[in-house]
Parts: sequence; C-alpha cells; structure tokens
Amino acid sequence: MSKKSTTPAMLAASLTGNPEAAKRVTAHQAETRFVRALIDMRVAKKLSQRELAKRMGVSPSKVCRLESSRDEALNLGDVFLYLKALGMTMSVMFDDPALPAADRIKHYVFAVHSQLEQLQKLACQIGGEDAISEKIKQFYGEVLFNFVLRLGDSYSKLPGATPIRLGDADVPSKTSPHRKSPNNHLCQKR
Amino acid sequence: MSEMWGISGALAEKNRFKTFDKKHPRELAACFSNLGHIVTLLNHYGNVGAFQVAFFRSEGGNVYRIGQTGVKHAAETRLYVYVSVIDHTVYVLTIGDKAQQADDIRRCKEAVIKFEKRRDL
Repeated sequence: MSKKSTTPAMLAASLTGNPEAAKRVTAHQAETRFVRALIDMRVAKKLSQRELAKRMGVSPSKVCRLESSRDEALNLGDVFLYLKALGMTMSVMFDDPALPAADRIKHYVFAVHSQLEQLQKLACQIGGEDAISEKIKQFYGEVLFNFVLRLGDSYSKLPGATPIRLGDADVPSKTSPHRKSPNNHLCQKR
Repeated sequence: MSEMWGISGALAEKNRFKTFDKKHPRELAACFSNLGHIVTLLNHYGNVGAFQVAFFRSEGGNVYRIGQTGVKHAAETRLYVYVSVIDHTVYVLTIGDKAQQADDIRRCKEAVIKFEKRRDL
C-alpha cells in the first residue's frame, strides 16, 4: 500500500474490502465541495471558528454546524454572513446545463470581461506610473496568453482542425509590448 | 519545495473497518472524505498546528481523530489517525463510535508508541 499513490477513497475501499466505500467517499467529497471552500477561506484568513463567530455575531456552534453540513443544506444568508465576516463578497453565477454550450461559454466570457473591467477601473484610479498598475497590465497579457493557449488546445482537438502553433508565443513580461504601447487611452476616455 | 503529505493504511486495524462499513457506511465515507481535506490542508500549511477544523481534534501523542460531517442522523464516528511529521504521512489507525472512544484512543496511542520505537531503532 504505497502512501503516495493512495487516495482516501482507495484506502477506504482497501481497508473495508468494499469498492462501494470508494464511491461513497468520492460522493461525499462532491457533496461538500462548497463547504470545504468556506473552511479553506477561513483557515487562509487565520481565523478560528470562535473568532469568525464573533465577527458574524453568532454562536461558535452555529459556525461549527455550518462547516459540518453538506452543500445542499447550506443557507444562503448564513453563507453571505460567513463571507462578509471574512471580508469577502459573494458573486453568484447561474448556470443552466440545458442551454447550448455556445451560450454557456458566452456567459462565462461576459463574466470574465466584467472582472477585467473592474481591474481596468482600479488601474485607472491608481494611475499609469504605479507598480500595481504595471502589474495589472502584465496580468492582462497573461490572461490573453492563457486564453489563446487553451482555446488553441481545444480547437486543435476538433475533427479536421489544423493545430494552432504557439511556438513563438511567450508570456508577456515587463519588456513586453505593453510597455511600448500602454492602454492609457482607455483611462483617458473616462 | 517540501515533501507532499500522503496517507497510509499500514498501521490500520482492518477488521474494524470491515465491521464498521457494514454498520455505518455513510459515516465511514464521510470520515475518509474529511481525511482527504486534512491532507490537503497539511500540504498547504505544513503542520497540524496551522489550522483549526472542527472535525479534526488531537487526542494527544500525535493521535488525532477525524469526525464525520454532512451525514443526516449520523452515528458519532471517529477515524483515528497518526500524523507523522518525520515521513509526512497520515497513518490511519482505527475507526469507532463514541461509546468505544476511550478504549480506541488507548489502543491507538499504544500502537503509535510501538511504531515509533520500531522506527527509531
């Protein structure tokens, strides 16, 4: 039983001698994914349940119950309060699996665009000379690069498609074209 | 980069797991699922002192218990593990309910002492 290749699901199946145990572990992991994300965010902020409860204005046992529940049993109001106490906001994206794939992809593209717009506004507020603003410009290049990379990867798997060569592409650095032609005109318009 | 944490069943009381799975399969699955979360946190933060999670408690002597979560009308279940910092491994020891916990903890601690002695030789 090698430790490196063993997952909790595999170990459960091995120790019980029951392959169904592995399926149940995997199912539980899927049913508590959101709750785990909440716990991870609290831990990342170095807050105990007691401290978070104080910020939320609830009892520690309420936080304990929330973190011990399944995703489907969560109360939206409690989650909102939990995130607010962590200094975070919540954005909800509704996804309809019945919609055509094209519509769903467009939906995500609009969501990404909305986030980029917020970043752009932040850069404009800071001004063009700041190091943060420079980092934001660099990040835009990285987003574009990653997007093209993944789009190209998916496209090349289409039947009869010609693979897209990205051999000359590079992640934009500080010496990238951004420095030569900054998008300051976007800021000036506002 | 530090070594990744892994899990092992080398010190596990296999019969207990077989019996428990027949009686409380959902609770057993929840405990193993939570074990996965603990390993993720260990890989991120490096040691057990860096995070506080309600279902993960110390029983002393590097023995920890992992409880079940997200199971309706659950039987209080404890999955006992030994967190070995030396080889970055979480050893699964045994599983039991609340009624058996005192005896389980005693056996787990004995098993860990025995294992550590053997390893240090």
